[in-house]
Amino acid sequence: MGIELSDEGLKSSLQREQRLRPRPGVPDLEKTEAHRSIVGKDVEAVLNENARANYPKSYPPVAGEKLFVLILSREERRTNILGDLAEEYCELAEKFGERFATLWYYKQVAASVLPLIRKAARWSLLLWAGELIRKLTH
Amino acid sequence: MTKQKDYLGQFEEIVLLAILRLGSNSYGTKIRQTVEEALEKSVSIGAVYTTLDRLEQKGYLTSWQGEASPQRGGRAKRYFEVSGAGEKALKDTNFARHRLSKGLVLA
Repeated sequence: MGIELSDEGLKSSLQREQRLRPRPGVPDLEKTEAHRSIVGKDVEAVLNENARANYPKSYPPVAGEKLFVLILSREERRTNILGDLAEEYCELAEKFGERFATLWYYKQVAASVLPLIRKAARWSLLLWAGELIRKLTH
Repeated sequence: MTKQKDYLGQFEEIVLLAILRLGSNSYGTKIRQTVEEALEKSVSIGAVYTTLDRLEQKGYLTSWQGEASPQRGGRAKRYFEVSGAGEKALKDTNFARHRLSKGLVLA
Protein backbone atom coordinates (compact mmCIF):
# COMPACT_ATOMS: atom_id res chain seq x y z
CA MET A 1 0.00 0.00 0.00
CA GLY A 2 1.71 3.17 -1.15
CA ILE A 3 1.94 6.23 1.02
CA GLU A 4 2.56 9.70 -0.32
CA LEU A 5 4.73 11.56 2.18
CA SER A 6 6.67 14.74 1.80
CA ASP A 7 9.08 13.96 4.64
CA GLU A 8 11.67 11.57 3.21
CA GLY A 9 12.87 10.45 6.61
CA LEU A 10 9.39 9.52 7.78
CA LYS A 11 8.63 7.81 4.47
CA SER A 12 11.70 5.60 4.70
CA SER A 13 10.91 4.85 8.36
CA LEU A 14 7.41 3.71 7.46
CA GLN A 15 8.67 1.64 4.53
CA ARG A 16 11.28 0.00 6.74
CA GLU A 17 8.70 -0.63 9.41
CA GLN A 18 6.34 -2.29 6.94
CA ARG A 19 9.11 -4.56 5.64
CA LEU A 20 10.12 -5.61 9.15
CA ARG A 21 6.65 -6.17 10.52
CA PRO A 22 6.43 -9.94 11.09
CA ARG A 23 2.85 -10.19 12.37
CA PRO A 24 -0.04 -9.48 10.00
CA GLY A 25 -3.19 -7.84 11.23
CA VAL A 26 -1.47 -5.48 13.67
CA PRO A 27 -3.52 -2.27 13.68
CA ASP A 28 -1.95 0.57 11.74
CA LEU A 29 -2.26 4.30 12.25
CA GLU A 30 -4.55 6.03 9.80
CA LYS A 31 -2.29 7.50 7.19
CA THR A 32 -4.02 10.88 7.09
CA GLU A 33 -2.31 14.21 6.78
CA ALA A 34 -3.47 15.24 10.24
CA HIS A 35 -2.07 12.08 11.80
CA ARG A 36 1.25 12.40 10.02
CA SER A 37 1.67 15.98 11.14
CA ILE A 38 0.88 15.09 14.72
CA VAL A 39 2.67 11.78 15.00
CA GLY A 40 5.78 12.76 13.10
CA LYS A 41 8.87 10.69 13.34
CA ASP A 42 7.85 8.57 16.29
CA VAL A 43 5.54 6.44 14.14
CA GLU A 44 8.35 3.95 13.81
CA ALA A 45 8.91 3.83 17.55
CA VAL A 46 5.24 3.08 18.16
CA LEU A 47 4.50 0.67 15.37
CA ASN A 48 7.84 -0.94 14.82
CA GLU A 49 7.38 -4.65 15.20
CA ASN A 50 11.12 -4.99 15.34
CA ALA A 51 11.08 -3.01 18.61
CA ARG A 52 8.26 -5.20 19.85
CA ALA A 53 10.31 -8.27 19.04
CA ASN A 54 12.90 -6.89 21.49
CA TYR A 55 10.55 -7.05 24.46
CA PRO A 56 11.54 -10.07 26.55
CA LYS A 57 8.07 -11.55 27.12
CA SER A 58 5.21 -9.07 26.88
CA TYR A 59 4.66 -5.59 25.50
CA PRO A 60 2.32 -2.71 26.17
CA PRO A 61 -1.02 -2.31 24.36
CA VAL A 62 -0.66 -0.66 20.97
CA ALA A 63 -3.76 1.51 21.43
CA GLY A 64 -2.34 2.95 24.63
CA GLU A 65 0.95 3.81 22.97
CA LYS A 66 -0.86 5.42 20.02
CA LEU A 67 -2.77 7.68 22.40
CA PHE A 68 0.46 8.92 23.95
CA VAL A 69 1.97 9.49 20.53
CA LEU A 70 -1.04 11.63 19.61
CA ILE A 71 -1.00 13.80 22.69
CA LEU A 72 2.76 14.25 23.11
CA SER A 73 4.19 16.93 20.89
CA ARG A 74 7.90 16.51 21.55
CA GLU A 75 9.48 13.50 19.88
CA GLU A 76 12.01 13.07 22.63
CA ARG A 77 9.40 13.13 25.37
CA ARG A 78 7.36 10.56 23.47
CA THR A 79 10.32 8.22 23.40
CA ASN A 80 11.15 8.78 27.08
CA ILE A 81 7.59 8.37 28.34
CA LEU A 82 6.78 5.39 26.13
CA GLY A 83 10.01 3.74 27.23
CA ASP A 84 9.32 4.35 30.92
CA LEU A 85 5.80 3.00 30.65
CA ALA A 86 6.97 -0.01 28.68
CA GLU A 87 9.60 -0.81 31.31
CA GLU A 88 7.10 -0.63 34.14
CA TYR A 89 4.53 -2.57 32.10
CA CYS A 90 6.99 -5.43 31.66
CA GLU A 91 7.79 -5.44 35.39
CA LEU A 92 4.11 -5.54 36.34
CA ALA A 93 3.30 -8.16 33.72
CA GLU A 94 5.99 -10.39 35.16
CA LYS A 95 4.81 -9.93 38.74
CA PHE A 96 1.04 -9.73 38.39
CA GLY A 97 0.18 -10.85 34.89
CA GLU A 98 -0.57 -9.11 31.60
CA ARG A 99 -4.17 -8.25 32.38
CA PHE A 100 -3.18 -6.29 35.50
CA ALA A 101 -0.35 -4.59 33.60
CA THR A 102 -2.67 -3.60 30.74
CA LEU A 103 -5.21 -2.12 33.17
CA TRP A 104 -2.43 -0.20 34.86
CA TYR A 105 -1.19 1.08 31.50
CA TYR A 106 -4.60 2.43 30.47
CA LYS A 107 -4.99 4.00 33.90
CA GLN A 108 -1.69 5.80 33.29
CA VAL A 109 -2.92 6.95 29.88
CA ALA A 110 -6.16 8.28 31.35
CA ALA A 111 -4.40 10.03 34.24
CA SER A 112 -1.67 11.51 32.02
CA VAL A 113 -3.86 12.86 29.25
CA LEU A 114 -5.03 15.98 31.06
CA PRO A 115 -1.67 17.30 32.33
CA LEU A 116 0.02 16.55 29.02
CA ILE A 117 -2.72 18.07 26.91
CA ARG A 118 -2.78 21.15 29.11
CA LYS A 119 0.97 21.51 28.67
CA ALA A 120 0.86 20.89 24.93
CA ALA A 121 -2.11 23.21 24.53
CA ARG A 122 -0.26 26.04 26.18
CA TRP A 123 2.32 25.98 23.41
CA SER A 124 0.54 24.69 20.37
CA LEU A 125 -3.15 25.58 20.62
CA LEU A 126 -2.82 28.71 18.56
CA LEU A 127 -0.67 26.96 15.97
CA TRP A 128 -3.13 24.08 15.75
CA ALA A 129 -6.12 26.39 15.48
CA GLY A 130 -4.39 28.37 12.75
CA GLU A 131 -3.57 25.20 10.85
CA LEU A 132 -7.15 23.94 11.21
CA ILE A 133 -8.60 27.20 9.95
CA ARG A 134 -6.21 27.15 7.03
CA LYS A 135 -7.29 23.60 6.11
CA LEU A 136 -10.99 24.37 6.49
CA THR A 137 -10.84 27.47 4.38
CA HIS A 138 -8.57 25.93 1.73
CA MET B 1 21.00 43.68 48.83
CA THR B 2 19.39 40.32 49.60
CA LYS B 3 19.56 37.56 46.99
CA GLN B 4 16.28 36.67 45.32
CA LYS B 5 14.76 33.55 46.79
CA ASP B 6 13.09 30.88 44.69
CA TYR B 7 10.18 28.90 46.05
CA LEU B 8 8.88 25.64 44.72
CA GLY B 9 5.38 24.29 44.27
CA GLN B 10 4.39 21.31 46.38
CA PHE B 11 4.76 18.71 43.66
CA GLU B 12 7.92 20.34 42.30
CA GLU B 13 9.52 20.02 45.72
CA ILE B 14 8.52 16.38 46.02
CA VAL B 15 9.91 15.54 42.59
CA LEU B 16 13.23 17.26 43.34
CA LEU B 17 13.53 15.41 46.64
CA ALA B 18 12.79 12.12 44.90
CA ILE B 19 15.56 12.81 42.38
CA LEU B 20 18.02 13.64 45.17
CA ARG B 21 17.07 10.44 46.97
CA LEU B 22 17.48 8.29 43.82
CA GLY B 23 20.90 9.72 43.05
CA SER B 24 22.40 8.38 39.83
CA ASN B 25 19.42 6.10 39.09
CA SER B 26 17.08 9.00 38.54
CA TYR B 27 14.90 8.49 35.48
CA GLY B 28 11.18 8.70 34.72
CA THR B 29 10.00 5.32 35.98
CA LYS B 30 12.01 5.41 39.21
CA ILE B 31 11.04 9.02 39.94
CA ARG B 32 7.36 8.18 39.47
CA GLN B 33 7.60 5.10 41.70
CA THR B 34 9.49 6.97 44.43
CA VAL B 35 6.97 9.83 44.46
CA GLU B 36 4.05 7.38 44.46
CA GLU B 37 5.55 5.49 47.38
CA ALA B 38 6.13 8.69 49.35
CA LEU B 39 2.69 10.16 48.69
CA GLU B 40 0.93 6.79 49.13
CA LYS B 41 -1.32 7.57 46.18
CA SER B 42 -1.34 6.96 42.44
CA VAL B 43 0.86 9.32 40.42
CA SER B 44 0.71 9.52 36.64
CA ILE B 45 3.79 9.58 34.40
CA GLY B 46 2.30 12.58 32.59
CA ALA B 47 2.17 14.64 35.78
CA VAL B 48 5.77 13.68 36.60
CA TYR B 49 7.11 14.62 33.16
CA THR B 50 5.14 17.87 33.08
CA THR B 51 6.83 18.81 36.36
CA LEU B 52 10.25 17.60 35.18
CA ASP B 53 9.97 19.73 32.05
CA ARG B 54 8.95 22.76 34.06
CA LEU B 55 11.82 22.30 36.53
CA GLU B 56 14.28 21.86 33.68
CA GLN B 57 13.04 25.05 32.02
CA LYS B 58 13.55 26.91 35.29
CA GLY B 59 17.10 25.57 35.46
CA TYR B 60 16.57 23.45 38.55
CA LEU B 61 17.32 20.20 36.74
CA THR B 62 19.74 18.96 34.14
CA SER B 63 19.11 15.87 32.07
CA TRP B 64 20.89 13.57 29.66
CA GLN B 65 20.00 10.62 27.46
CA GLY B 66 20.88 7.21 28.86
CA GLU B 67 20.94 3.67 27.55
CA ALA B 68 18.11 1.79 25.85
CA SER B 69 16.95 -1.65 26.94
CA PRO B 70 14.73 -4.44 25.60
CA GLN B 71 12.19 -3.88 28.37
CA ARG B 72 11.75 -0.36 27.00
CA GLY B 73 11.29 -1.55 23.43
CA GLY B 74 14.71 -0.23 22.55
CA ARG B 75 13.92 3.31 23.74
CA ALA B 76 16.49 5.29 25.67
CA LYS B 77 16.12 6.47 29.26
CA ARG B 78 16.42 10.09 30.25
CA TYR B 79 18.29 10.71 33.50
CA PHE B 80 17.80 13.78 35.67
CA GLU B 81 19.97 15.56 38.20
CA VAL B 82 19.23 18.46 40.53
CA SER B 83 21.29 21.53 39.66
CA GLY B 84 22.79 24.06 42.05
CA ALA B 85 19.86 26.38 41.47
CA GLY B 86 17.49 23.51 42.23
CA GLU B 87 19.21 22.76 45.52
CA LYS B 88 19.04 26.43 46.44
CA ALA B 89 15.32 26.53 45.65
CA LEU B 90 14.82 23.46 47.85
CA LYS B 91 16.71 25.10 50.70
CA ASP B 92 14.77 28.36 50.37
CA THR B 93 11.44 26.54 50.33
CA ASN B 94 12.42 24.41 53.30
CA PHE B 95 13.62 27.48 55.21
CA ALA B 96 10.35 29.33 54.58
CA ARG B 97 8.36 26.32 55.75
CA HIS B 98 10.49 26.04 58.87
CA ARG B 99 10.01 29.72 59.70
CA LEU B 100 6.25 29.47 59.26
CA SER B 101 5.83 26.25 61.22
CA LYS B 102 8.16 27.18 64.11
CA GLY B 103 6.36 26.95 67.40
CA LEU B 104 3.23 25.42 65.91
CA VAL B 105 1.99 22.12 67.25
CA LEU B 106 0.50 20.09 64.43
CA ALA B 107 -1.82 17.21 65.28
